[in-house]
Amino acid sequence: MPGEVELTIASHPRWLRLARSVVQDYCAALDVPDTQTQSIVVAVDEALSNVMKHAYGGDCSKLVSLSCSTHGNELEFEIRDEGAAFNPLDHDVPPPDELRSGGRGLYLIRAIMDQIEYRRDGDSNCVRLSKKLDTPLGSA
Amino acid sequence: MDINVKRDADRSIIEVSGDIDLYSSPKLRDTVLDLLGKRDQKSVIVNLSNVDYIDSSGVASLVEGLQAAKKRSARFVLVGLKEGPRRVLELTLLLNVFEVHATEEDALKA
Repeated sequence: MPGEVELTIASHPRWLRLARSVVQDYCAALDVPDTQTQSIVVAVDEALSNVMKHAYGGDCSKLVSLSCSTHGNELEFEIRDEGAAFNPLDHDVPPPDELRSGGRGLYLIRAIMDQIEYRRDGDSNCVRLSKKLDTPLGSA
Repeated sequence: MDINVKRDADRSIIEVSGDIDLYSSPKLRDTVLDLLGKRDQKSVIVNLSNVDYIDSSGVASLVEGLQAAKKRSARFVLVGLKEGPRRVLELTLLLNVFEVHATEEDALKA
């Protein structure tokens, strides 16, 4: 099912800012509180960055798509790419510490979002991030 | 993201403005490591008062700066943290790992 807002960007990190602004505006249109929006933007940005770094291995010529939708009182963000299989749930994410150089992106996604689902759909990775809202949609 | 460096003999202030993300963080990392490495600065202050967003790659750049500073017994300080970047550092359990001050003046006095 298509989302309410859909965005496809090239897998170049220069487009992350655009994706963040779309997520921010989507949340604003739904009156999601600013503090929750800030966190959601971080999680979606990290998921898109993971696609660029891991699924595409830095190849900037591919495409990543983001679909934003609501389900009841939850926001849902689906990220799709056609890169190498990369299941964020396969990776152990211990709490970050000062000495670790990586792994904080996945840690942030898990700390912020309520649910993370992954499926390999043919040649595509599909990651779905869900967040239950502190304030019911439409109540602001 | 823009970076402006104010440098004395052995002290630098890095003024960052804009978002620090996967696209821009290599520039911050290179600047920090250049100052602490080749230029042998004894104190590096990173002013983030014009930064609304930092991602995990930006956090990793700051961690590398902190580690490089520790190796050289140099000082590495963050100032002007806005709510968003502060929250990311809290979530990654790093807020208390860095020396953090409200302003450059506070950092220089400390």
